Amino acid sequence: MAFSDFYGNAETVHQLREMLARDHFPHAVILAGPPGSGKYTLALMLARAMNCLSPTTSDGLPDFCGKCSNCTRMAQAEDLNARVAEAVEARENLRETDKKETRILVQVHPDLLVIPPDPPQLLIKVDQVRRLSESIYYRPAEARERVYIFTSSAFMKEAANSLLKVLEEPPSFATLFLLTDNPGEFLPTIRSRCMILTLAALPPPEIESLLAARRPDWNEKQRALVARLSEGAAGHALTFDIATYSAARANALVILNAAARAGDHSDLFKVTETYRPGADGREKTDQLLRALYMLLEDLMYLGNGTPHLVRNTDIQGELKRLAEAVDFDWIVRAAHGLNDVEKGIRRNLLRSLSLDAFAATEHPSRFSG
Amino acid sequence: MSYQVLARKYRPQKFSDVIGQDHVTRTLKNAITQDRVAHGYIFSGHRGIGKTTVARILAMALNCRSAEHPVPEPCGICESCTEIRAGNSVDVIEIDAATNRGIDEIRELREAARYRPARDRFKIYILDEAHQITDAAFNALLKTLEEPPSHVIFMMATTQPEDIPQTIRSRCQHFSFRAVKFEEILTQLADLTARENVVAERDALALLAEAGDGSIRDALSILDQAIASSSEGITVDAVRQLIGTAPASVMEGMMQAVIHNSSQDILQAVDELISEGHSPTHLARQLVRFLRNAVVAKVAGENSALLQVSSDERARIARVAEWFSEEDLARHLQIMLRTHGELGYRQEQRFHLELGLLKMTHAQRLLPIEQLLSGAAVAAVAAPARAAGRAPERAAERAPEARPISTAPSARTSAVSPFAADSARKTNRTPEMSSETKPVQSVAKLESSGSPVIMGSAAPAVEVAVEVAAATEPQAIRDSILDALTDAGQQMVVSMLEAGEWTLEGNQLVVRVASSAAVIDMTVGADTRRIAGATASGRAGRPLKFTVLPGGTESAVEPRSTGASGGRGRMAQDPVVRRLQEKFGAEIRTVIDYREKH
Repeated sequence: MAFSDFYGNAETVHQLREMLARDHFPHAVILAGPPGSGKYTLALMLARAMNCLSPTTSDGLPDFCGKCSNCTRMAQAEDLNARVAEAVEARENLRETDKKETRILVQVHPDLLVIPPDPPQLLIKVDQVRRLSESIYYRPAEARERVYIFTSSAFMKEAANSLLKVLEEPPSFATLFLLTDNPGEFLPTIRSRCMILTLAALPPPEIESLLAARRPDWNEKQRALVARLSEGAAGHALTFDIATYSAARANALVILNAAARAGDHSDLFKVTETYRPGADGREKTDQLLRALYMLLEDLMYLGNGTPHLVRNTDIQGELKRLAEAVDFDWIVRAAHGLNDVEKGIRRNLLRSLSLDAFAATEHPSRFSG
Repeated sequence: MSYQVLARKYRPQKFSDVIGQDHVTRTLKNAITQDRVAHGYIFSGHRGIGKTTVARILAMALNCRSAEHPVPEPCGICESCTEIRAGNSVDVIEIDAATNRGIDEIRELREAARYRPARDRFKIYILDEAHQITDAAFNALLKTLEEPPSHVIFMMATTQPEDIPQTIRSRCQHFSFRAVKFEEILTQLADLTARENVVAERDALALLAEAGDGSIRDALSILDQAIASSSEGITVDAVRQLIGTAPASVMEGMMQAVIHNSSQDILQAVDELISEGHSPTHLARQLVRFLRNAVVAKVAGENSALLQVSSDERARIARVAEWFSEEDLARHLQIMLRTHGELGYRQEQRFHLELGLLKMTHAQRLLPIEQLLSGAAVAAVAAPARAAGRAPERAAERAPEARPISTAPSARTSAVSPFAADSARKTNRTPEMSSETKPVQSVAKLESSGSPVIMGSAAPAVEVAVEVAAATEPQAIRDSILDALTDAGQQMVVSMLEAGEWTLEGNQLVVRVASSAAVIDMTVGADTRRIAGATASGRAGRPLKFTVLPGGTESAVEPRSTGASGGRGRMAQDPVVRRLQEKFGAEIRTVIDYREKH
């Protein structure tokens, strides 16, 4: 493992390493980028580069060896989902009273603290931030730099506010990374205290070549599709689940068809019925919503004379037929309706009903008849 | 690491170093010289403009040991000053109120406040991010804050002063900090780069200052990044890439695509920008600014001092302002503002940005409302044809190079309505209404219908001439039925029947409506039939059967000519109302007669 293993966004990586080389690294960095663009991987690499016991250089810039005790221990945090799952499981085994008080934190090295959003609400809570403000003023034990990584921008309001003072003037030996999909989700007061760096989306051809090297099990057509669907996020593309997406997209098409054309709703009901309430149906619904947005966007491309931007290239024929049935106003309304569905689901409305309602209200003839 | 970011390194240590907050620093200095220091202060304002800094300087000034009394400018070298700067003074206690927000912490503070300061003159509590203190904790502080011991001074710094209870605010002096002006930030940036021995282009600094958006810390954060990322000097291009700003030419191109009505150009441009690494939020924000500047250029002229941009950009903005009318610009600005707001919390950012941009091209095709209203007299048949042919025609007309800038012919304005004159004043586009036929048409219509086109004035409710003698009876019955149904609260039926054709066939009253049989079945219930039948029979003086049949054509809504049933009938005849119904499909919901009320 070294910086050369990081794919894409060479300029941003270069900039960060150069700051490291010149000892100009800021105390707080926001890394922004779409999910799967490598924010966490990059933050972890930087943490190792700061603390490597036998630092190496590549291209004249600092790198890390990946073999020393600091590097290997920090590398254990790479599979964050597994670490979080372990922590959650450990918490489940606690006594009921302790469970409430316990927050999920990932610490694989005394000087590296990863702060993931705390399940089940998946928000970063004030106790987690307190843990940071308590420990940050101690000198690093085995490394040169204390590193804190927040993996999400979903903060509870109090938590975000209690981060402000530490974030403004942390001790000289601490560095904070805040990772986010959208820097706009942070408080403006947080944003103003950090340096914001963006990991941009990669163009489809670049991802395609990456996939060709790392996912030989997919055929060319699949790779081309995934490259377009992953929206420029390398990590997302590598772990893309074509089967799940196709299923979600098929359902999304049924819903859109029902919404765009009048007729029999029995297909629609059959589909929406499968979106169960509760936590188990959440992921499936999220995927459906994403697929819906993706299809709407493609319809918009088709309707506005830019068919080469369409992502779902494999079902272009069907999309074209659908695009003829709808106009721009319909797409705007549908996007609006979809947003309402999303909002409703967040407030625990019945998923199947919200989707039915969406399909029924976006009917184009609603206004002409 | 030993490196300190600029915002921390150059945190002002004297009142005179604080930028853009003269109203605060002057007042505080005077208060110290006149020995009128209050026991509670609230400093409020945006992020990164000096609230905490001023609180610290004030603490230094009060406790400075360079004189026997508080001094208007701290010396910065005595023990107290250096300790406060390092944050380890015993008597100046800076509390992160966002973390220590509970009642227990405040109780502790209250206890400690009773004791005299260890060494210095005052015991000073700085409560930073004070808006996070809980209500209970604030209330626990009230008594102490009203009459604290003479050696205690509280300072609260917050970005949200409205979250602080009134009772606390009334016990403190409240200073609200201003956003720092563009020029002031620029001067400061130039000053700092000189001190840091960094070469920087003037325009690059201007970009940084603009990105700071009134906050000096924001500007300095980005300057930091710029210095770190470029080894030799700061250039415009480097800064632009850093803050993800697309060049102004891109914005100009977008707006050009909007006038040319070319959606694909817009989508193409967005695709390119995004693959270059620009974030949708940032693009939306930039476009909002650009449009705001264009509106300013339109209203106040391109040389206005309100435009805080570089000269190259000024020319671009002026050009774009030239292409659009004031209303169009305002409308586009509104669309982009909403889009920008939505991007903040939505997942599919790119999609929503594209939607917002396409909405602008679609909005560009809309008719201004004044024209619609003033053109109301034009025959209904002509209208759709005109509207259909209008968009491309107008787009072609508005192409920047082929754009004749002529004011409306004066002959036209006198003929139509005040709105035409208004729109001619506001827009400098060639109005396609100047086609010869239009004024003539409207004048002709004016004479024939006798209904005044002048709107907005207190037009008297002129009785519309009774159309055909034979139609009076169904007409009268129709109105009574509709009134009766309205009273019964059956708005759905009313709106359907209103549009139908009413005929009397023997002892049957037949209404033909445009809806299908199924819809009629659903809408017209037994209740409706009973009311309608009874009313019709009563009105005609003989039993009438009420039937609703499909197969009618959608006709313009005729006004109900009942004078007897009060406001609603009169309302429906009012020419203004009629026109609104005709043009916008408005419906009368509630009628309030103010004459009856008085």
